Amino acid sequence: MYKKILLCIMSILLMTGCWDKIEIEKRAFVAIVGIDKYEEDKKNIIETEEKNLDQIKNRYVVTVSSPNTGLLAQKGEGDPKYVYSTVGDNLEEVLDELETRTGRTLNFRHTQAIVLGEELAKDETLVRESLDNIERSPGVGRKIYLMVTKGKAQDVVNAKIKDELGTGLFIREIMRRKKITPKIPDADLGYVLRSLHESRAAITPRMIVSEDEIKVAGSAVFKNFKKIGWLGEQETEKMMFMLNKLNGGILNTTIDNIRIPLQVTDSKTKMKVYEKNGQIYTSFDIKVEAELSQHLFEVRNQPLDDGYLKRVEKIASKELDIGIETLYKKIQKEFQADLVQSGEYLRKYEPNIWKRVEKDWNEIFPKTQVKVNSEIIIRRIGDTQ
Amino acid sequence: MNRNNDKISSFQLGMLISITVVGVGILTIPRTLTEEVGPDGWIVLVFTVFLVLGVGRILTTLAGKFSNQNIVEYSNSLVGKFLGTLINVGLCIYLVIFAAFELRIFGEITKAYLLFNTPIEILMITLLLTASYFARSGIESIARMAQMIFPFIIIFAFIITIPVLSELEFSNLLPVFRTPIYKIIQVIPVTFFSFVGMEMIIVCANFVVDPQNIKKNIDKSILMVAAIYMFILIITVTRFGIIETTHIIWPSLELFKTIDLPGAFIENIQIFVIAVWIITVFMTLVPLYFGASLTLSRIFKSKEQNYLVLPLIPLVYFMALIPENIAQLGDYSDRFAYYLGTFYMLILPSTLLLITYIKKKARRNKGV
Amino acid sequence: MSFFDDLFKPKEEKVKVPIKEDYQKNLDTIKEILKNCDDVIYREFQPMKDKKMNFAVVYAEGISNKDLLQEYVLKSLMLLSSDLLKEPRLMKEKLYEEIKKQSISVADIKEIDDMNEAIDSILCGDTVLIVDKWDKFFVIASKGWEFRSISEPSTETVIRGSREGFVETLRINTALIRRRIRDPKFKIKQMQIGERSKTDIAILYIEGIVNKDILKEVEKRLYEIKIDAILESGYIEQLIEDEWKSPFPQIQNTQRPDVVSAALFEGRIAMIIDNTPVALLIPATIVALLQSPEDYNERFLIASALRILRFISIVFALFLPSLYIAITSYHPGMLPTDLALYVAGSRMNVPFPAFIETFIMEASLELLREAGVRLPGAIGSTIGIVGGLVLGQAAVQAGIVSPLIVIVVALTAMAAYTTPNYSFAIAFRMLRFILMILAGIFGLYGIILGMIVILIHLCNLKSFGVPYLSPFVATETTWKDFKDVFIRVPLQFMKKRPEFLHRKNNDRLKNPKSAIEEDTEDE
Repeated sequence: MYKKILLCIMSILLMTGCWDKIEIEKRAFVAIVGIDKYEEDKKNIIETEEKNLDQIKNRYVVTVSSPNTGLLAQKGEGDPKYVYSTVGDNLEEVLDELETRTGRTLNFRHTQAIVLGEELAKDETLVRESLDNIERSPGVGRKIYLMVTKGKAQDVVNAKIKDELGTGLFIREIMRRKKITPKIPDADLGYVLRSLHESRAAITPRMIVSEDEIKVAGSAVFKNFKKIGWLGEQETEKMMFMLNKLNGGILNTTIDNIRIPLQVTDSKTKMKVYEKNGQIYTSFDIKVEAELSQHLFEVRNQPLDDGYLKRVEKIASKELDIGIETLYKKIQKEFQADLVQSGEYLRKYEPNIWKRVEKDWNEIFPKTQVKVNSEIIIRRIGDTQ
Repeated sequence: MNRNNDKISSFQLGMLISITVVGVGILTIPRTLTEEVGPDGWIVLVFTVFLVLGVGRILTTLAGKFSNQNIVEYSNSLVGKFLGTLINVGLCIYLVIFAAFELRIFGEITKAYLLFNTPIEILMITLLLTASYFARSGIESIARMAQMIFPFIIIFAFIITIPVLSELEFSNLLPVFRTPIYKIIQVIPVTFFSFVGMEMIIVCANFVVDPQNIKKNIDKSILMVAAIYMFILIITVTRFGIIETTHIIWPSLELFKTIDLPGAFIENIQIFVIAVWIITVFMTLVPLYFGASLTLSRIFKSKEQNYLVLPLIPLVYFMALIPENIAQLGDYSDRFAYYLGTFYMLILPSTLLLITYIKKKARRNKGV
Repeated sequence: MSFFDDLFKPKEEKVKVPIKEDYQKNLDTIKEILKNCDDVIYREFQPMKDKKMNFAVVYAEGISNKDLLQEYVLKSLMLLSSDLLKEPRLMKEKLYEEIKKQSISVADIKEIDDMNEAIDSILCGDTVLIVDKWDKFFVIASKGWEFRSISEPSTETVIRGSREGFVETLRINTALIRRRIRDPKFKIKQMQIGERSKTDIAILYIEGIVNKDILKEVEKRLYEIKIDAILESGYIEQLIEDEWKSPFPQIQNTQRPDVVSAALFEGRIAMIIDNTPVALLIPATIVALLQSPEDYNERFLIASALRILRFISIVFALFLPSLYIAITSYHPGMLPTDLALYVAGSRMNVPFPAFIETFIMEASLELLREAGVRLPGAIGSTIGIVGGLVLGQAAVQAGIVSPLIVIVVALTAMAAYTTPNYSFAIAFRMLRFILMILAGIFGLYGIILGMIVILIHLCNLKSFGVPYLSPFVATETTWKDFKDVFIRVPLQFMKKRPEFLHRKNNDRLKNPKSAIEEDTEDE
C-alpha cells in the first residue's frame, strides 16, 4: 500500500517535474545592468511599441549586457557581448520584457555591477524603488557594485572594451584592483545598503565612460536616497582614509621642490567622536606606513638620512591632514551628509550624547569640528640612497 | 542478538533534542532578538539559557521518575484517564502542528532561495514522504541519524563562516547594557520559544538505556544549542549591524550572500548552505513527526508506532498549507508557540512533576 | 569434533544404513549407489595366501591421492604385510586391528559403520577400504587433487604487503591463515552446507576476542540455510545477510589471508568456503569496507592521507555527476563567474539537456567497464582505450556532449575505483544513477533528498547486530574507534581493538604475560 502510494507520487513527479530546469546555455548571465531614467524626447532609445498604443508611462530604461559565452569556450563567433535595452514602468516589468527580447532567462547571480545613470540617481523615488528591488531579490549578491555614471548608464553598458567579454567582466577586474588605488572607492552593494540604512548617506563608485574606454574613479555621494554630488579622485582617496578602508595608493608630497610619491603599504584610521565644551568633535587618528619609491636622480644621501625622512614624513602628514580636513568640511557644507558615520559612532560608543542629538543630527553634523592627526612612517626607500 | 528497535543512549537523546531545537530557531533568532532589544540580544540569550536549563531539569526529572513509561502512560495514571487522554491528544496535535510549521518554513525557504518555480506543494510533499519513511524506521535510526548529522552541522557551520570573520565589526554590538532590565525580562519568552522542541525529552526518554546520564547530556545539548544561537546571533549582528539585521527576513541565510569564495570551486555558498540547512530542518521534522505517531499509538494502546505514520501525512500536509503567506505563518507560529508551547514545555511537565511529588507524599503519609 | 557432531545431529535426517558383514553385498551396494559414476575406481584384491579374504579399495579418481594409496595402502597390504596376513589363526577382530596398527602406514585412518558416510567419504576424495567379513569400513584420508598454486589475487592488490591470495581449496586457505595466527585460541570450525554439493565451510575466529553473541548468530543463520548447492561464498553471503533489499554488502569479502587475519585479530569472524578463493568477514561496517590492507603497512601519515583521499573519492563517485546536473540545469549561480560562463559556452549547441548528456555518458562508462571485465585481459585494456579515448573525443568533437562532461565522467570513474571493496564500490555506482535522476528533477534539493534517503537506509542497516555506520552511530560513546576511521593513528596509539564489537578482551598492545591471564579469565 505504502509503496504503491510512493510509486504513484514518484511517477507524478517524474512526469511533471523539472519546473526550475533551465539549461545553463539557455541562461543569459547578465554581467552589468544599466538603469536610466526614461526621457521622452531622446531618440537613442530603441522602442518597439508604438507610441500611441503605449498606455503605460515609461519611467525606466534598462540596459543589460551578457557576454558571448561561446567565444569563451572557443565555440562561437560574433560580438563579445550581447546588449539589450528596453523601457518600462518598473524594473520587474522591464526585466520581463527583456527576457522576451533575449529569448533566454536572465540570471543576475553573476552580475558584477549595477550602474545608475546620473539623471536617475538624482530622482529619489526611482533610486529607492531600484534599491528595494535589488535588495529584495534573492538572486543578487551583496558583493557586487552599485555605481553611478556621469551621463547615461546605457553608454557604459554599450562601451566597447578591448580584451574582455563586455563591460561587466571588465569592471570586475578593475574593482579587484581597488586595493591598489584608493581612487576607486571600496564600496560594494552591501556597504551602500547598510550605510544608507544606517545614516541615509553613502558613497558609490563613479564611472566615467568615453568612446572605447571606461574608468572607475571618484565617487558619487548619496544622501536621502539621491545623488547630491561627486567626490573627485583625490577626495575619494581621503574619504577612504576616513572610512579606514585604505590599503594602498600614493601620497604625493613636495619637499625642496622635489616631488616625492609615497607608496602607502598599510594604513589604519581610528575615528572618534566626542563632546567637549558643548561642541561635538570628530577626530581621526591615522597611521600610515609608506615606501619612498621615487626621489630625484643624482641627489645623494638624502633618502638614507633619518632627519630628512622625518621631514618628508612631517610634510606629507601635514598635507594629508589638510586634505582630510578640507574634505570633511566639504562634506559638511556642501552635502550635509554624514558619510563618515559619526552618528553611528555616537550611537554605539556615546549613547548618552546620541540620545540628545539623535533627532536633529542633520543640523548638528554640519557644525561638528574635525581634528585630524596623521602619522606617516616611511619604512623602506628602495634600492638606492 | 539485540534487534529491538527502541534502545538509544542518553547521548543520542541529547543529540536528538539539539537538532530538533536548532532547526528553525537558527534562522529567526537574530532578527527577533535584535528587533526587540537591539545590540543587547546576546544578554537576553544568556538569561534565556539559564531558564531553559531549568526547564530541561524539570523535563528530565519528570522523565527520570518514569523511566520505563511513556508520557501517555504516566500522565493517565497521574491525572486520570479522561484528563490524561485530553492532554495526550493535545500533545499529539501540538506535535503535528509543530511539524507542519517546520514543513511550511522549509517550503518557503526552499522556494525563495533554491527552486523558484517549483510548486511549494511538491517540495513539501517530497520532504514529508521522506520524513514519513524515516519516522517508520523507529527511534533508533532517528537517534543514530541525529548523532551523525548534528556534529557534522556544527563543523560545517563553523567552517562556512570563516570567510565572514574578516568582515565582522564588533562595534555593532555596542552599546551594551543599554536595554532596561524589565525589557530584557519581557523579551525572554521570545527567545525561549527558539528552544521549543525540548518537550521531545518527555516523549522519547523512556527509550534511553542509561537514564542516569540523561540530565548531564540534556544540559550539554542545551548549552550546545545556545552556543550555536549565540554564534549565529553575534556573527549576524556584527556583520549586518542592527538596522539591517532587523530588515532582512532570514538574516542567517542572507549572511552567506555576503561571502564570496574567490578562486574556489563553489563561489556562491548560499545555495550550499541552504542545502545543508534542509538536512537540519528534516531532522527537526522527523522527531516531531515520530513523536506524534508514537503518542497516537500509545493513546490507542497499539504496540506498533509505524502504522500510524501514514494517516498523519495528510494531516501534517494540509496543516502546513493553511497559512496564506509568510507573514501569516509568522503570526500563527508566534501564537502557537506562546500558548501550546508554554503549556507543553513548561506548565504540563511542572504540573505532572508536582502531582508526582504530592502523590508520593500522600502515599508516604498513608504508609506512616 | 564433538561440537561438530552435535551441530549436525538435528539436521541429519538421513537414515543410517548399516554395513553388512558380507563383502560382496557391501561392494554391490556401493556400486549400486554410485552407478554411472565412472570416476569411482574399485580395486579388489586378495592379499592372503589362501585367497579367502576379499579386500577392496574404493576411491574417486582425480580428487584422491593415488600415490599414497598405491604406496602405503596397497603395497603394504599386498607385499609387506603378507607375512602377517598369512596367519590364518588370526581371529576376525584381531585381523582388523593388525591391519590398522601394522599394515597401513597412512596418518589419518578411521573406522565407520554407515554406508552413507562411506559414500560421502568417497566423494570427498577419501578411500574406503572394504574388508571381508567385517561390518565396518576403513576410511583412509587420501584427499588430494590438483589445485591452483597460491598467487597474487587479481583484486585488492597492494604495493606493500603479502602477495598471497586464497586458492580454491579450503584446507590450504585455512593453512594460510593458521600460518599467520599461531594461537591455540584461533579456532577453525567446519561444517557442510548444501544437500547435494556438501560444500565444506569453515568458521574462523579467535576465542576470547570474538563476540560470542555474533558468533552464535552466525552459526544459527548458517544452520537455517537449506539449499542444494553452494558454489561460491556469494551464496552464503546472500543467504545470511541482514537485509537483502539493500545495495550495500553487509558482509565483507576478501581474497587476502592477511586481511582475514587482521579481521580475526580485531575480533571479527571469518568464513572460508571450499571451492572459492573469496572469504567472508563478519560483521562488516562501512569503515571496514573502506580500509585497505596497506593502510596498516604504510606509515601513519601516508596511510591517513590516502584514507582521507578515499573518503573524498567516494563522495565524488556518488555525487559528482548529479552535482554537475544540478549546477548546470538549476543553480549556475554556485559556480565562479568565469567557470559558469565557460560551462555555458562549452555546452553551447549541445543538443541534449545536461541530465540526458550525463546519463548517456555514465551509462556508456558502465558499458565499457562491463565489457572490459568480460573480455580477456589484453582486449579488455584495448576496449578501455577505444571506449574512453576515442568515444569521448569523438562525442565531444561531434558536439553531442560538452567536453566538461567527459572530465566529470572520467573523474567519477577514477574515484569509484579507489574503493578497495568491489561490491561496496558497485553499490555506490548504482546509487549514483538514482541521485542523477533526482538531481534532474529537483536540482540540489533532489540530491539532498537522495542523500537523506541513503543515510536513512544506512542508519537502519545492521550487520549481525552491529550498526553498519559504526562508529559514527554506536549507542555507546565509541570515540576511540575514530582513531581508525578518517585517519589511522600510529600503531603505538592503537592500544585497543575497535570497540564496536563489544568484546571483553580489548587490548592489542600490552605485555604478553597479562595477555595470557586475561585470556584465561575470559574462558
